[in-house]
Amino acid sequence: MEATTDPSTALMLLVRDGNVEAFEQLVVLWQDRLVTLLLHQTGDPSIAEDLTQEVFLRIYRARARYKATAKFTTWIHTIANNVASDLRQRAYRRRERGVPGSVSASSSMIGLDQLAVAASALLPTRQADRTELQMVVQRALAQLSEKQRMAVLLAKFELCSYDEIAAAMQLSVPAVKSLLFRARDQLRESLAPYLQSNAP
Amino acid sequence: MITPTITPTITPSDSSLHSSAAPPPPSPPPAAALEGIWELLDVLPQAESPPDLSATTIEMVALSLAGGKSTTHSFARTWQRGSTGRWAIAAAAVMGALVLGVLAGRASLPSPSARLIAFLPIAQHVDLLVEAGSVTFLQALAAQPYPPPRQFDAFQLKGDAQFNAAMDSLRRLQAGRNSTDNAVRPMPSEPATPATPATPAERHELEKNVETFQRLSSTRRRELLEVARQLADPQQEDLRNAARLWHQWIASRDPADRRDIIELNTQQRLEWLDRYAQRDSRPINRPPREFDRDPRRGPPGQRPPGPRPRGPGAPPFPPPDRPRASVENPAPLR
Repeated sequence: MEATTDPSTALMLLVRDGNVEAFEQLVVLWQDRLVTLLLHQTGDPSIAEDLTQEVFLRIYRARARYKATAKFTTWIHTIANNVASDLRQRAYRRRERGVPGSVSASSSMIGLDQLAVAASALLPTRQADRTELQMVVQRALAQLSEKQRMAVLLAKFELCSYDEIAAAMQLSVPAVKSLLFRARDQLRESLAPYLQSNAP
Repeated sequence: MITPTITPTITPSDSSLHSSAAPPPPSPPPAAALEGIWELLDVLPQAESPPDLSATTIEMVALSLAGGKSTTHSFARTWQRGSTGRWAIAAAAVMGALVLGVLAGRASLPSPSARLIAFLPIAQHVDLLVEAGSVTFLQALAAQPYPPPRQFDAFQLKGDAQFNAAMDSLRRLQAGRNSTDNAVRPMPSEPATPATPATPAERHELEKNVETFQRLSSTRRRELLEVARQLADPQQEDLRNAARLWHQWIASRDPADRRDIIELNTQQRLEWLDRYAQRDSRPINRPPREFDRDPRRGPPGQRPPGPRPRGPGAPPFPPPDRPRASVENPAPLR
């Protein structure tokens, strides 16, 4: 077995060798992180849970092909990104039953009524509480493109480097930098009142 | 003052020299790229997965592998859209893999029943689980004293026996496994427990049920796994009775209507049950209506043929408030 210091990689190597208990530990270790990532990517908790299960299903199916040449983190992020992209493409192409429109980046991680509330919270004179601020940030995040959002989420929640994000999203490092800079500009524009009010 | 401008020109040899002499400076972390909004993103909540998610994930993985079929339509899409040549290569590779897979499958699996392995009872009784719907519905049903359907005859007792057999099967499945919701259930490491030898028709039915289960969404499959788990729990006698009662009601309906009833959600199911239970509660031998109590017609069974006799007490026809036809009004509105 290859020597590794990363616990997830070590578990995955055990899974590759047929250790079922290691797969269970891997699920427990990663499911909250994946649900968080996919929740903010899709905006729907149930879809996020379904996608998380799909990620683990793909991992288990591909276990025999796993090689410890790359970090397990990058590998699982790649699969998560592919799963999220597949869902969006399937929903777009076939309008599947059971796939709500919330996977669309433009349509919403939140409903229209919530959007109205969030819009009212954008007034600079209004002191928004944390819930409203959270809603506004979610709305701003939903307005990003799918790739921009995934790059931001990988950077923020998974603390990935440029190289890791590039590997996970199968892009070049300059492309990732461009994505993040454009995302930052768009988020700054959407969240301008809050950035000003939070400034010292 | 004239400032000399120098346009740098980098030859390939220069660039290679530069790259070999000094490595490029490390990129700042992405947090720097998101400067200004990084802290604002902290308000986004960390999700907490449901306590049974890991257990259902492992069960789903095991069940999906048992079925031997993918739950998704595209598996590992490893490259972006490219030239036609790449698509042709990909298509050829997929076709080749399919042919090899079919050949290898036929060679290694002499019997289709070998695919139907652990968790078979869940897929085997998927129709019953879909009929039960959800734990929420069964709990709501158990909380109210609904009567059994009136039209539950001996023919339907056979279905009741099948229901009991299914419950026993689910209970056997659950036996020996950890019944707490928070625990991770072990995934079957044994490769295959072949299905009980059955007739070709029964085997076909099993395979069809497995495919039905595979086609369900992940959320729906988790619901059904939870229903199966609850029905198999020895302490959930109320839920089993509720499922049995609902099964009897479904069995008492016309087969053409059953699917529509099963597709109702929890609230609609309860409303449907309210309506039909109320209808069933009416006595079969209803008293005669006021119309039939007219002594002039005699008791039921001895009524004279022909139209109802009209006498002095009979209401005038047409009623006085209805306008009569006339030359000015040849067709009065009704």
